[in-house]
Amino acid sequence: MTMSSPVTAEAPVPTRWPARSPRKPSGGASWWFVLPALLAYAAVVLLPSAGGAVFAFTDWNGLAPELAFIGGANFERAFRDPQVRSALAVTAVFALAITVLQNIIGLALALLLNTSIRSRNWLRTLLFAPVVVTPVIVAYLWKYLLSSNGAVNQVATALGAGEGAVNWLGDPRMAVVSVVIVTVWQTMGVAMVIYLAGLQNIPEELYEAADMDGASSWTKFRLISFPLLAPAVTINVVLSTVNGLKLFDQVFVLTSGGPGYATETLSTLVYKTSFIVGEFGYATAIALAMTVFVAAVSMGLMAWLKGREAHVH
Amino acid sequence: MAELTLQGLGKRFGAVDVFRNISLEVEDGEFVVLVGPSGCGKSTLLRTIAGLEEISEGHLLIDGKRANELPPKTRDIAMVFQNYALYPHLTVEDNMGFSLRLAGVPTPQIRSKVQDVARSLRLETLLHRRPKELSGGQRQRVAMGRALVRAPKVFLFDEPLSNLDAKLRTQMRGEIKEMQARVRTTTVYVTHDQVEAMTMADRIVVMNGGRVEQIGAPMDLYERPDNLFVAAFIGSPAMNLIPGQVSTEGGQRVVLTDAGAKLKCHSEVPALEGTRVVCGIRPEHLDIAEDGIPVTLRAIEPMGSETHLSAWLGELPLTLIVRERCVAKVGDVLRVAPRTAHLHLFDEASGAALRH
Amino acid sequence: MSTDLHRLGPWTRELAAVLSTGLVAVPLYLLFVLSLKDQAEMTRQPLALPTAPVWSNYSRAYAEALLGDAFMSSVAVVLLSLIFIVLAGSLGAYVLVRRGSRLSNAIFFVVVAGMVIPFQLGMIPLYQAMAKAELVGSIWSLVVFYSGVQMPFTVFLYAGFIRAMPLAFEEAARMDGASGWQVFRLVVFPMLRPITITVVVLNGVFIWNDFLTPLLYLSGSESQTIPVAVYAFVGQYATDWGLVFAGLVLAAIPVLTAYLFLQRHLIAGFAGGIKG
Repeated sequence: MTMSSPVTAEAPVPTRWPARSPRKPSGGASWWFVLPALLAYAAVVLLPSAGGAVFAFTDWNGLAPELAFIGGANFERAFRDPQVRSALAVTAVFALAITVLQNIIGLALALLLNTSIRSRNWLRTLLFAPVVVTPVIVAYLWKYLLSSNGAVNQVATALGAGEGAVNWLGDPRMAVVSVVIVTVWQTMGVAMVIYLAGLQNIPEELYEAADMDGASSWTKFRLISFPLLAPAVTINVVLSTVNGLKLFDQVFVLTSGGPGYATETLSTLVYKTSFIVGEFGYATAIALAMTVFVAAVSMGLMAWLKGREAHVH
Repeated sequence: MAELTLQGLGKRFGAVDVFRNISLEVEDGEFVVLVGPSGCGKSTLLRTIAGLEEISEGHLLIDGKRANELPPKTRDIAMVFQNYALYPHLTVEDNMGFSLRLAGVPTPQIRSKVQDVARSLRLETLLHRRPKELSGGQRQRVAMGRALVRAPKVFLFDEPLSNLDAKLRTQMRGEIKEMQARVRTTTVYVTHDQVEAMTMADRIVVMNGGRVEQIGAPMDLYERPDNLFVAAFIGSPAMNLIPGQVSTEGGQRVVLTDAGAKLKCHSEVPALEGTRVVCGIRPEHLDIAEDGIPVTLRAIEPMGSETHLSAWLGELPLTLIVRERCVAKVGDVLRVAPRTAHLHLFDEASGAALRH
Repeated sequence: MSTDLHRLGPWTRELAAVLSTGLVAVPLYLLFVLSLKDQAEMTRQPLALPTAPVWSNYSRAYAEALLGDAFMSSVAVVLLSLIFIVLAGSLGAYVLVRRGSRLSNAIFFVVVAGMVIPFQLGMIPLYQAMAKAELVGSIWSLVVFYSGVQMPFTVFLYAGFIRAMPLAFEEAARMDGASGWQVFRLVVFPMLRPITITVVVLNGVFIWNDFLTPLLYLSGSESQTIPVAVYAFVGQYATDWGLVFAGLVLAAIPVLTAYLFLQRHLIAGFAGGIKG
């Protein structure tokens, strides 16, 4: 016979209430505090972006006081423009290549650093260093190294690659490769550091248990490390994709979009169309399309990866 | 020092009532403890007194003046939080002097006041440390010191001992009580531990489900609980509760327990024949008697000064406290009888005490 | 320690370590070495240490690239921007998190959503506005720009941290008599130190290294920042690679020095901050 029913007094006034009532601040944080941040954000981001979105529907060249609404004409033109299409393709290729390489190399380096080799700490310092150096400086360094009689070709020739040393920056296809190499060289440290942090969060016991079950290294990686790295993978892939899609500095310095339009990305195209060709309206239309493209890709990617994360757990 | 008056205080979050119709008058210098199970509303009630939560209905009077709309600072109330909330980036000295600094008190005065309070709490050597370098008990004392320095009208304590281990808790209980006796500041103290309530309070407010179950001095609550909830909540080990039915046998009012035993009760018990009741008898008021009810001994716990016996009355667990050494063995049948004078009767449906 | 690569054996791992070291170190090594060579030696023996270091490359680079001025500019832009970003960002995040109302949540969403907007969209109208305000050519154009553009990310970082902070400290401060502003200044902001470091590091590095926007606003002006100065300098002396490299080294020294001293914070900032 249980004692619970006779013991309790009559039913209390409420039947259930939150275990921990929602607490509101006792009027401390004043709305005024948020004003500076909001003003700066609105003035620099929201309003200009809205304005930009509007200009996309005009034919303004940025200087003349007259402009005319031309509706979606800019967008139609962009859709048919081979330059825009090529830039879109190039941007996509960059984003893809950079993401894949950066993550593979970053993960490999993180795995390496996570083992007990002696030179761990200063190796990590060294490998991360390129991340902080100004991209423009890095790009110029590599511009020399990859020039026709630059260090890379000289070494290649010395190693017997023959006279036809690669025209890294002059050949359309190699130029794309070069940009990818330079960008990955600089940013692989970020992926490495994030993966390293993720790896170090995995409890040692999981590996020990796997050892006792006789798992091989590859199995351990496949069943423990990789799944538990899912959040880090999400961050890294989204980050490198978005950065790849917005790529500017390296292209601008290394190839200026050339040779021809081989390495022209959407970013550099917008810049040139605005300031060199002087077609502000058209440029903004491309920028708007680019915004939508980047937002769609990044959010779609995030959603897909987050879904995989949940599935893993 | 001040009186604290609660008149019909109520608090709502949206459609949900946290507590309703709480009335209480705390005298100047009194130590009142709000006690009850988790979720009964005692902490929220404390926070409305502090001014950290808004009052939905009723009046709060501090020193006779209505305080509902006053911000915490103006109420002149100091609070010791459950996790102490010591500012981690400030030293003990700065923590304790924080309110004075805000009030614009000159530094030398702050220092001397902090020194005085620190001495009374044995914290003088810790003044330059940071909270993270202190033990739990030390942090507790710093939190008290921070409240003491303000010399407020009212002290509020929000379960300050729940994060300490048992031994420390016992020690700190004494220290808090001692400190309060010294400064004689009106105090409201919230806890879920009825032992703390019994040992520290001048008066206890037992709360359950947003309502007040009973208010009274510790021994009053112990000896004359108004309802089943208070009877079961106060006292450790808990009161034995035996359900049954009122009947008359040979002129004598008795309760026929569901387990078949008959308990004698007072003839003037205000209950009709056949009423379902719950008998309450505290473990120390159950004696081993030859004409008593048979129960099966389940466990023997010698405490040293007394022995706790657990027994089954049918399927009902009972606890007895005996002073003599117990010679019986587990599984034996004992005969126990409650002292009629200490037998409580409660209406089973309403839980209210039936008193003559 | 993960045991993933143990199967490779210790020597293979050391080899991998050496290779990856070389991958990064060699270009950096070349950067320094080549800055001290003259044209002839560069074509003949690029990889060896310079036989007769051409130190004058450095003095010339410094003078020609106006790196001293550029350094001051970069420092000014970073410091001024950071001051605003940290103060406004922390205050803004504090309000939006603590208010907890539907309005504050909506505003928070709008602010943080700004992280996906590429700055190219508003780049031109903003330039027009800056030109009208006569800010083009002055570092203030950049300070204003970064203050606005970095707000979503900064508010996002601060908000995450503040959400995890127990309310009790602020409540204790209110009971001690602090006004809303005093609660923030004396209690909340000091407790934000860990995330402030991340904010400073991530924003600082980004602003210091940013190229396109300074190019837009400061190209050719005497307030140009280091990346723009480098661009102009290389454009001018493109053929004299030794000189160019000296310029590059000088331009890279401030960041590398900061990195050497603050690497732990920098790396932690990247790993932790981006996780948000």
